[in-house]
Amino acid sequence: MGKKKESAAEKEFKKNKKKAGKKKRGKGDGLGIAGTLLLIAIILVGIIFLPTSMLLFVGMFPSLIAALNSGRKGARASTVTAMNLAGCIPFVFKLWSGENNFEASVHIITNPNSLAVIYMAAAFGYMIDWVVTGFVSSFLYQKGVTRMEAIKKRQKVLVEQWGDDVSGTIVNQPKK
Amino acid sequence: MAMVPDGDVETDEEDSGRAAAGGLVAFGQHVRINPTVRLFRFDNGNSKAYEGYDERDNNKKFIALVAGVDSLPRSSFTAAYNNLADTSFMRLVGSGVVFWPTEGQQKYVFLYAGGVGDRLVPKEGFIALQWRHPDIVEYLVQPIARILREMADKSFFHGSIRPDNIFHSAPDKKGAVILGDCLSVQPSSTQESLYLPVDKAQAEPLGRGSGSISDDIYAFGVTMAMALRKTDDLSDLEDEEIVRRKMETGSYATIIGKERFQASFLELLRGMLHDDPALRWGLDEIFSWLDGSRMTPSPLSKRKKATRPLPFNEGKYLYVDVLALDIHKNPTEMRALVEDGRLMQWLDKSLNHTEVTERYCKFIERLASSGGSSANSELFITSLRMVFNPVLPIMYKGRIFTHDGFGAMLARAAYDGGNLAFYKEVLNANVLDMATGYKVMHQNDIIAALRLFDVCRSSLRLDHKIEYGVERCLYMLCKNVPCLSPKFNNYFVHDHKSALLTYEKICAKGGEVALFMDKHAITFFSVVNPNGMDHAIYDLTAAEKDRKILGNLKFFSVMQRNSEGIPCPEIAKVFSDSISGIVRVFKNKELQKKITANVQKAAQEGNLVAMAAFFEDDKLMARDQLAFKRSLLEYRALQKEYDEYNKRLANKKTYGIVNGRDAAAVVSWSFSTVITLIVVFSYMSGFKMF
Repeated sequence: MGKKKESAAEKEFKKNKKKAGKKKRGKGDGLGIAGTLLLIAIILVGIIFLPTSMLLFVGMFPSLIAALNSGRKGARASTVTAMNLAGCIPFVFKLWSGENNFEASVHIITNPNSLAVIYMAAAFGYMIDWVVTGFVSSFLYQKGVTRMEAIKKRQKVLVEQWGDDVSGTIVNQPKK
Repeated sequence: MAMVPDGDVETDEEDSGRAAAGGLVAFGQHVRINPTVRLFRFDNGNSKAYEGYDERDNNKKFIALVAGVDSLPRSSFTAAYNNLADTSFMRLVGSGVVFWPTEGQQKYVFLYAGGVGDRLVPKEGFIALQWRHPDIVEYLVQPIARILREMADKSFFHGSIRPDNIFHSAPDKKGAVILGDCLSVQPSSTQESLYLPVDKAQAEPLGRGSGSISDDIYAFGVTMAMALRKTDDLSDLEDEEIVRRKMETGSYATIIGKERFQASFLELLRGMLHDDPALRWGLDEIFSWLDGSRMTPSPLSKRKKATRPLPFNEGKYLYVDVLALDIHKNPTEMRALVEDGRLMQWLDKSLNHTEVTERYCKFIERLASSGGSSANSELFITSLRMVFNPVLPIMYKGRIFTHDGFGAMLARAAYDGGNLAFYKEVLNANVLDMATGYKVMHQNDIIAALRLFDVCRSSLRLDHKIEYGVERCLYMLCKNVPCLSPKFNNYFVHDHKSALLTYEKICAKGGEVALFMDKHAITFFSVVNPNGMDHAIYDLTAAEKDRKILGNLKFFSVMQRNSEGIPCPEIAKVFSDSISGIVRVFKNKELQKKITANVQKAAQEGNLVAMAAFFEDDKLMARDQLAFKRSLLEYRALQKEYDEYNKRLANKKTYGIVNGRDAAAVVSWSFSTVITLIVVFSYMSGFKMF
């Protein structure tokens, strides 16, 4: 009986442990199946198209930095990536239109002019992020202030039309 | 209420405060009452008679019976009286309120047509009526029987039939008699004990109850006997002695005594003076007698006589109904008789009166359950008196009254400003209920009376509410009392119109606020005209001053509507001054201004109905409320939005950053796409950029 009881308890413990393990690998934790498959696909494609991959790896370095710095909300990384990619695209086409081998790729990434163009494009991405974000936030702030003023104005009209009662607050009545 | 019979005299109460030239009192448009010319013979109790005349024709004389609140005139009975067409009634040509200059207060006037003649017999002294028997039948019995029948047909009763209130206009006193005033006083209140049956004779004048046609027949019987008698044996007797004799020997024997009347008259008198109302002759018997039928009145039921007397209060009693008259004289001894069982023994062994013994046993049971005879010695005496003689009026704490006369006594006490504790005690101790239970009445009447007393007790319990209390009891129990509000001191307010005119006068003096309706006024009108009061009671009983004012305005509009819309500019001005508060029932400020302007305009015309109408437009109010609720919700939503903005805009550095970065990403990707497309096209076209 005692042994049977112990084995049942052990089974229960194992079940809970399995459940806990499943829970640990929940949504958002790690890459997941799709992420893993995508990573494998990228690595495979990277190996197959090694010259292009190497060029992009070196060229897209600022995007990698931006992605690591911006965390999960990757709006800034996206901005930088877009411009960084725009900087890389002409050299990718240059590679593809040429010999498209390892030496050609190394030639491009060791050429300071190429890197300057690519990284300047990434820097332009940072600049777009700074300028547009500042402009938009200021615009929205001003819009909010204007809306607040409009609200107060409308509330004033309502009070004039209906008295203080419309605010829902208890107004002190004169003593009877 | 002004009463205008046949268009003879139009009693316009607006004129009531107006004194005509030469100290005359104007009554209506053309009648003038001279307060210096008294007509003593027409006086009825405290109601004094004065001469009046038509100013268009000085020969057209009137008799004005002027009654104060203390007389509790039967103003509500004028319409019923007017329906009495017989010429043997004094013809009522008008009634209403006038300002009586000699007393500086309003009085209620009943204006009768003149030419009534003199009294049949003088009030003081003794003068035997020297009429032949056929004349008595023709000029006295027939007219009075006729008017009794008419009163019975119209559910009216006189209550003041006595020799000195019967008049004769013919110089030789040959001709039908005319019955004097009865409206200016409470029924039976001005009658001497002799003219009242035993159930009322002992009661206080105002406590004698509402009366009945049977009481009138009895009073007529006594009147006839007084008119026919040759000797004066009764005038020296005290009221108590008369009651005692009526109880011991019966009314007929007491009143007729040793007088010798014609045998046929004796039948009539015996029938009319029967002490049992159920066996007393009715109108059918009287008319049969007039037609010549000779009938024998029912004999008095034989009273049970005890085989041995009961010694009590230094006397010996063989009859239990006579004992009832005296038990209050020595309550201590009576209590001892009850407690040691001697009374029970006497009832059981000597009297052997089954009904009394049963009643007494029930009384003893009740007494035991309520803590014995010493718990409430007054109630003990009252109850025992009812047990021994249920016919007698109620005696409680020395006051004697009938169950339906209690209201008039209460009204008079309230008018005199006395302590009403006694009356509350009577109601709360169920004294009236007990007395009603012992009376021989129709079941419906008993139920109605008991329900009324129950409502009164509820009203006393709810005294803290303005529409209840002893004031309400007083107006429920006495239908003829005018409103006794302290505001109406020296005024006679008995209906909507008189109230409106009185308030108008009060407002004209200045210093009034729009809170006119006090506890007396509210209870009075909620009893007299509950429909009109229901309209406003919700607001009148509110705690907020403005709501009370609105309730007042609503009720005043009802009063004005019921008073042919007489303009009341002074009252309207008082309400108009308080409009800023009551207009707040509307929420919209623009609407408030518009209504204030309209109300002010109506106030200038003294139109209270129009003023109140603005506050009674339910559709407008509903629309206003709905719009207000919508605005309230809008205000709240706006406030919520404002608070949200306020919170988010608090940190200017971070506000809009997310949106900005999103926008930057969109811009960046747009540029990127454009650049990519350019590169693609350039390579496709063979142009090499690098």
